[in-house]
Amino acid sequence: MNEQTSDLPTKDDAIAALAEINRVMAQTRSAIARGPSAALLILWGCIWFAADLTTQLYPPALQWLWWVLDLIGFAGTWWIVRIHATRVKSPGGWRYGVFWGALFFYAILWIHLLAPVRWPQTAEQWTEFEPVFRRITAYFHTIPMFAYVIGGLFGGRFLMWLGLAVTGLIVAGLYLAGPYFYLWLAVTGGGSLVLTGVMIRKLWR
Amino acid sequence: MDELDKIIHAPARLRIMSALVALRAAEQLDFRTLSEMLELTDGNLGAHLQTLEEARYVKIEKSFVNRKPRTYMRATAQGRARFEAHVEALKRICGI
Repeated sequence: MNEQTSDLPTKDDAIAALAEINRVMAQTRSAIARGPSAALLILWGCIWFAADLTTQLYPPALQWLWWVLDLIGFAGTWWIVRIHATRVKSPGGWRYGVFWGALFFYAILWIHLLAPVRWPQTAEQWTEFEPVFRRITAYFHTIPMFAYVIGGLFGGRFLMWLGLAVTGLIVAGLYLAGPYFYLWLAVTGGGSLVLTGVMIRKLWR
Repeated sequence: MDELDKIIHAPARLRIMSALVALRAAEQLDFRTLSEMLELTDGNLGAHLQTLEEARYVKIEKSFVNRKPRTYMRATAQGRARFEAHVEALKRICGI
């Protein structure tokens, strides 16, 4: 049975109530949209930063670096998403995990099939291999940004602009950063993700 | 004609319903998240939720996640309809 009130609020009360409704609804939607994204952006920004900085300073680490850091990243992602899932139950949330897994599986598969990497064993081999690895690194860095752009088209223009901006910085670095390409990636790529995560945490309340 | 709903009209319950109606139909919010978001004490939120549940405006489910008890809630179809009617009544008062 519905209870209806006979004490009508004044026009000012009604305006205030509608404003409060809009505020709380916007706050809730923004909290859900933000979800675990701020924490994930900070995590993956740190991983990019660490990986690219290490590549710049100690290239031989490439043989194992990304495997180790990606494992840490995937474990961290699983943990963050698991915590978020206890706060908002959203059927179908698992699809995001499948999407990212499929995307990287596709990218890695085709690299191995079309341009299999033979890791250099000597300084001479590294010199020969570096230009190829530089392009592969740029390619892999643009993949998640491409996903941001596509996701942003449907779910919020902010992600789209972030994806386009970081892709632009990656391509600019590929041609302009010379011997400091990986340092450029660490600061612009990893740094952008961390900064965005911090901004989302501060602003999307 | 839509009329104001006495149960929803109380300020705290209006905010609770606003938050729950903002969710998609299949989504549920947990108690702790809602209390933090609305800055309500556990006791206050619990009392208002009980009122809304008794009116069948809100569905509350208790479950265990990682062996810890969790309380999840969502607005029912009836709750959503009453909330919409309440909003329409408020708009009419404002002359919107």
